[in-house]
Amino acid sequence: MDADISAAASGSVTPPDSDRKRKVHGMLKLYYGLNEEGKPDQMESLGPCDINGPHFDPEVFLNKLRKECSLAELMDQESCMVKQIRSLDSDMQTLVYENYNKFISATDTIRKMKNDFKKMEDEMDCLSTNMAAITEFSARISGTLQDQHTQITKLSGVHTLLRKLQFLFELPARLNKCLEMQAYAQAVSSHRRARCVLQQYSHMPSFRGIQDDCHAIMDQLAQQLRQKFRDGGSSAKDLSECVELLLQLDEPAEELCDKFLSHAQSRLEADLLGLEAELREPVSASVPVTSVDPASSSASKASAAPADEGPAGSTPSTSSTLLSPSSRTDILEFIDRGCNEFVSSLCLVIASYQELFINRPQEGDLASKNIPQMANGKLHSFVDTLAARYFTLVERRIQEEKGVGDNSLLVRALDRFHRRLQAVSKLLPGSPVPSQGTEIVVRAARERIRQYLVALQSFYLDSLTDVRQALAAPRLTVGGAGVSGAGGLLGGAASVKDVPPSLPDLLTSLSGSILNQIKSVLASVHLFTAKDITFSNKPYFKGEFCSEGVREGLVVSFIKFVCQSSRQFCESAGDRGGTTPPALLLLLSRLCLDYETSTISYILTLTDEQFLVQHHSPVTAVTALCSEAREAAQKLLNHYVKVQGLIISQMLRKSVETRDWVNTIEPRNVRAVMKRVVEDTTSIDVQVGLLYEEGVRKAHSSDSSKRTFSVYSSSRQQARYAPSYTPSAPMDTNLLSNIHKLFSERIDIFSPVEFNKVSVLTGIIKISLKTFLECVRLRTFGRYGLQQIQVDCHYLQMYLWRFVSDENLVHFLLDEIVCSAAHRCLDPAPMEQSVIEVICERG
Amino acid sequence: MPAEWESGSHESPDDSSNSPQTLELLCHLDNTAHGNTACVLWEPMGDGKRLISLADNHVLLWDLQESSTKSAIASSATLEGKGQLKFTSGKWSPHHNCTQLVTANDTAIRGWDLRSMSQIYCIENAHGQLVRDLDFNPNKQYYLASCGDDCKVKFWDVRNIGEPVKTLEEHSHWVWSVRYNHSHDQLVLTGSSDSRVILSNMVSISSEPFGHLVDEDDLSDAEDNGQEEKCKEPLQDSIIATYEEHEDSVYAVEWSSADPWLFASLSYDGRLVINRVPRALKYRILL
Repeated sequence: MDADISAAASGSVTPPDSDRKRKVHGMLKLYYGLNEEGKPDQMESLGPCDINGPHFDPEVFLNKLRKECSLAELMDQESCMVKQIRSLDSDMQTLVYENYNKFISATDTIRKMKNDFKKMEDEMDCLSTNMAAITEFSARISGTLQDQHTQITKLSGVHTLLRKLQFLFELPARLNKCLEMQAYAQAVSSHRRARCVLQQYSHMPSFRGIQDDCHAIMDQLAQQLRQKFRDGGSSAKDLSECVELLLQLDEPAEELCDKFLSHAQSRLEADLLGLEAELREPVSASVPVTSVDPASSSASKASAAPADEGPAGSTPSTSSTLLSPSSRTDILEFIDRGCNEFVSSLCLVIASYQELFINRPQEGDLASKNIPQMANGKLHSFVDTLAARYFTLVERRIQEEKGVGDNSLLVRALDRFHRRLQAVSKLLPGSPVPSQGTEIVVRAARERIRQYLVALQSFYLDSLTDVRQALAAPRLTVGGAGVSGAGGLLGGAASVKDVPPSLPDLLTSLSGSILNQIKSVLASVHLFTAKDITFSNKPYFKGEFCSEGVREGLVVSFIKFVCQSSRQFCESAGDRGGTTPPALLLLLSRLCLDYETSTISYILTLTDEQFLVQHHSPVTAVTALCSEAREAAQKLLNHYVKVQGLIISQMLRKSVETRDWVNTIEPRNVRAVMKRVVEDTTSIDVQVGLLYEEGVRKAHSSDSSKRTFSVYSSSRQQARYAPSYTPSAPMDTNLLSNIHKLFSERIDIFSPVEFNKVSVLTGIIKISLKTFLECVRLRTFGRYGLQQIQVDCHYLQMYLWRFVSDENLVHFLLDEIVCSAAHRCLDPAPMEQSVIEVICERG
Repeated sequence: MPAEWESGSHESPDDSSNSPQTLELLCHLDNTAHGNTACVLWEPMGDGKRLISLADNHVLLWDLQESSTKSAIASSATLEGKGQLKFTSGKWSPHHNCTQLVTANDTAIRGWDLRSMSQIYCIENAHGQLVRDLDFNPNKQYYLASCGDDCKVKFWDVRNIGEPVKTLEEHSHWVWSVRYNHSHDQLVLTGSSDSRVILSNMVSISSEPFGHLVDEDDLSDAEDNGQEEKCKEPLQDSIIATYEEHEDSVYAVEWSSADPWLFASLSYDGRLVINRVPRALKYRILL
């Protein structure tokens, strides 16, 4: 009930409405499960006994009170209730009173406002009438001022026009002044401003005059600018300003480009001419410089390359004859000069040109003319032509660089050359110049390799000449000793002994010096691929240069050359009859054999390691080279055998051909020729033994010398047949010798020999004895002639068996000789074997 | 070697018959004034009235008068030079109306004009060593073969004597004899003191057309080409055969004058071997 009252007091809500609202409120609370008001409240409020709860039921409350409470408590409850009701009543009264007061004051305020509004309405009316009056006045004023205003506008227009006209009229003077003050930029901008107007009104004579004047002045200006441009001495900034102004003056850009370039060209050409002059002068002079001992010249260059005194000190003779300082410029200086003068100024020209014509911000009508493209084209062709000339000069200079002594200089020069061209490539991205430069470097490298090859070859030939001389010098003394030694075998052997020990020494020094030369050449060539050289990372220098150039072009070619030239020794000597000393042939054959066994693979491995050759293209295999070397060695040795055999053959042939064998005296001695043959064979044996191993011979017992006699008895046997030999009964001997031959192996006279001493000696002896045989067959013998042959053959028998691999060979051939002599004998009466032995041993 | 014997053997070519006729001395060449005779050459195409003998360094042209019983030196030439020059062999050219002679001395080959008896060319150092034998190509007038102690056989064009046209190096010792086949001059026979006889087929320098005459069936299609290649292949210069029947040095080889496919070789041991050109080759040449 209290709650109802308070609710009714606070808001004017009707009880059923409140009841319903309370219900709704409760249901909502139920729905949302709201319990922020506290659970005990809810519990209580749900109870119908809570006097402040929403479900309060007075009947239930009263019944409850009556059931639960005693009378005293009921009384207390009632008094408390009454007290609460009373306080609630008073509260309500105060509230009603306060509300009433507020209502009253509000009513008063509204009344007051009503009065105020009425006054304001009147004032507003007054304001509107005033405004109308003002509008009317203002209209009237503007009406009166209209005429004057138009006049003023007109006047101001005339004024500006007059000022423009004045500007025009003053323009020539102003331009002149600008010209005088060299304020070209101002002049140009002024003129540009006036140009259109003048163009438009040019039909009027006065304007035309001005225009003409202006044109004249501007022409003069352009002339001056052009002059300035042509002088070119001014700074790049001036120049660019100049060009810009000229462009604004409608000067054709193409012409400007041309002019600029031609101007630059004249300057660059001066550089080129300087270079060319330098190039032309040393043509005659550079020869002595390059021919100077490479060690000393390189040393002098290293110590004081730019100073003229350096080389002069080392080569006083050349410096005295060649006074012009340019004669001593080496390639590095030349390239340096080329780079510093030509290339750098070329770069400058390119840079400023690009700034002027290509990279300039495009403005106005200039943009449409497509200047950059045109200018770029011009620049490219300009650079190309000049670079081409420069390149030809450089190439000529490089070609003059023939001395192979100091490669580092050339490499450094090429490096600088190449490096500086990179600047051009940066400036001018599409230009073919750097690639052409690289090509030049590549060509130079190729040429260098070729030169090195030639140098190596000439070195090889020179050292061969040295060896030849070294061989020839002692040979004379041998001859002298041989003659003075009265042809004694021991004497001959002794005299031979002191001389040829130089053979192995010569061989080692020859192969050593060749190897050193190759190594130094490889080291020099290696400079081309050094890390710090700019062009070393070009694909050519990484791949082709190493494999094609160095390995194939240099090393392999050289080895091939060695083999080739060795083979030529055989061929040329064959026709001319042995101009090459045999010892040289022997030495070369040993050299080639050494190459085959070790040197070639060593050199190639060295090359491959140094240059890290990656074989893109098929390269010559080591085995192929080795077989070539072996072939050469074989050929040389064969030729050696042939030559030595021929020398001995000639002796034997002469001895047989020049003697009258029919009318000769009874043999008392072995002929001197035979002793000479044995001597020579011995010396050959010594010579070959110095370079080649002993080799295998067919086993023979220790008492070989005795066996030789026993074998030789077969010929004695034949000799026994000989007395019965008459022209009427030739069959016996023929049959015998034929049967004998059937069972002996065929002998190849000029057959290839093996790489050992015995085989070589066997070959030589075979050739000699075969010649002896053939010569004997061409002669006719008397009785003593035959006996002399018998003695000679026995003598040869005694000494030659020890040199050959198969002594039966010697026996067989000697038998044949004696046999043939018997055939050709008019009176075949052979000598007793014992007598022969006595004669031979006495000799 | 006595000149009479030499001439006698030439005079009686058909003593292959079983009953050997006794030889009769017809004529004596009096050469006592000129030293040893190296060889005697009959005029190749003539009527047997003229012959040449080479004695030491003299070339003697003999004329057998009418009855072939008297001989007289018609003309002579002498080789002058340093040292003792001796002719080793010679050959009378069957070409140029038999007016040319070629001789060998030491390593040089000389050509002579018999009309003027003067030297017309000289190949110095034709061989590395002694020149042993010479022969003219019967069909090509300027071609000449020579052999010598350097184991080589060389073919010369006497119009250009700087270089041999071709060189064979098949023998392993002195080559004593070289002979062209009389009718098929690509067949060349050589005998050597390595006791071998070698028959070579020198097509490239023979009078036979080298390769086929290509202008007729000129490259009509690829098959024909292939055939041509095949035809050309066997026509390379090659060694046809090496005959090793001899046990000793072979000093003479000669083609049969009757049968062009037959040849004989003679060695020191007195063995005479007669061989035939291989049948396959014969047909290839003929067909």
